[in-house]
Amino acid sequence: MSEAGSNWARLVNFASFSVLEHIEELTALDSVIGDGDHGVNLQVGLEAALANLGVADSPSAPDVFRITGTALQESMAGTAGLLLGRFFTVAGQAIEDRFDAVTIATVLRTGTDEMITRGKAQVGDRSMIDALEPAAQAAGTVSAGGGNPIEVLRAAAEAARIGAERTSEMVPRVGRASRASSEPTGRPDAGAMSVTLMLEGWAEAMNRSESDV
Amino acid sequence: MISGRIKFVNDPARIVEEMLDGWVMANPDIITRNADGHIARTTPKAQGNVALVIGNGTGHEPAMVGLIGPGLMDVNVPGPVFAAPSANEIAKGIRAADRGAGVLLCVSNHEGDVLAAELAAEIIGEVVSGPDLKIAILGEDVGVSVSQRSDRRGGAGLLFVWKMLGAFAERGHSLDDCTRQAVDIASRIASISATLTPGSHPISGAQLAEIPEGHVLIGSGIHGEGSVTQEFVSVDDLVPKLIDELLGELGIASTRRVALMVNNAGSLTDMELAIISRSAQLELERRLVTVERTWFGTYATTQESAGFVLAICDVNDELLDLYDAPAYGASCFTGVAS
Repeated sequence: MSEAGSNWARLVNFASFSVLEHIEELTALDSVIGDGDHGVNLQVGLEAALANLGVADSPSAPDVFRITGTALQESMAGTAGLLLGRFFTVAGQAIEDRFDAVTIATVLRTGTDEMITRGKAQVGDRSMIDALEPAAQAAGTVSAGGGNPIEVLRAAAEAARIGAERTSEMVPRVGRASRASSEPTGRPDAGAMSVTLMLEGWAEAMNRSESDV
Repeated sequence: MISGRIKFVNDPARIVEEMLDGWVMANPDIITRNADGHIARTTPKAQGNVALVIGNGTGHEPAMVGLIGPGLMDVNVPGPVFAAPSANEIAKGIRAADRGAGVLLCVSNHEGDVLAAELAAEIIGEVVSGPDLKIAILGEDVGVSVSQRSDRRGGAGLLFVWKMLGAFAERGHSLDDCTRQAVDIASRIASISATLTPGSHPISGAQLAEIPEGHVLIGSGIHGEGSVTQEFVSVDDLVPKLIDELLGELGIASTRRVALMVNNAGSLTDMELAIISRSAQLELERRLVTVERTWFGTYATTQESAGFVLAICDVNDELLDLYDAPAYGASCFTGVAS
């Protein structure tokens, strides 16, 4: 595995830890107006990605994204799996075999743009975009200001958390939720929360030494 | 989270696989699992005919596994429970289904299904000498798209498409003609649901809606979502209101002819279906709409939902001929063939 590929694979691993740690919270959030299966499905997708990364032959950074995107699409499926799969697939096509502040910002920007194009959701529609768009913007700003990878990932995770919490007051305007509820539920969107948890997992990975997985 | 009833299953992770196996093991003369694990006709249709493919979330049985067979669809790409299959799986289904005359990918209009279909088309487009492919995005459910008619969701009422389009494709029509026919039939259908008790997700256990006691949930989609409830008085109080919505949507004048469908969304008794069907037929007759055909039964479900879907299709002689054509599905139309 290239050093950059190894770093990115480690981030996928920490995203999975973070989701697993909060799986009951995600299930509860998705049960407010969904099937309650979002967290479990995401965990299945991430575990499939990690299994495929584990047997991949020296994956580069783009390889890690391609493998993760395919696994999320195949194992998670559904709208969320298809959109997250596209996020990783297209982000992987936009980067070199690197792990640095600019590459992290590029991943968030291109992945989020692809998700907006495919899912047709905008900020304010109560979806994953409400966490991802501010995260991509924060990462871009910190990276352009000369921030290092730790600073970029922290800024992205913090912006995602604020964006996800704002979804509590939003009326769902996309997807099945838009037909299930015509008023705010007072709870954050499960998808916005799950991508926040993944980004927090990425930031957490940077706080740990290499020996902690 | 309110939990639904305990279900007769084994490992929740194997629900879809075991369910599909059960269908093909019981109906080996009609359907089989092909090399990709999808549901295909045991005897594929003749070369030179357009193949009809559909990918969809599971949990709605007998749709769509029960609608694969002669006179019906060709390949069903099953996804997880209530979730679209992946684009790669759909692309495999398209390639396996082609009989040299192209493939019509039918899509019940839901976000995930449309997205997966678009991505599958991109995959097929990259294949050198891949099959000709058309996509028909179909919706008829008036309940979950009240504000935007052009974007109706797919629901149980699409049964009219599966049956009539299946017969049409069997007659050797071109891919373009099949695509036009699919969209035309869907535009002639309107459906709406009414639910007294919601179903529950078979894996998470979550109830799919909250319905106050004594109330009926109107217009929830095939996944049970929705929030418009009213007091339930009687079938003869409720059904005319639903018929009114459907006729209003289609703009049918009193001289028109329709086919009627009452679909059991999960746990209604045949007794209830017959009483609902009677009420619908009497109301249509009262409005001088001719009911040419009536189906009531279990065609597309939302788990154990105690509800029904009322659908009408504006028919003509050509469509009635397609409606009456022989068809053999593992569940639906087993007795229709003449």
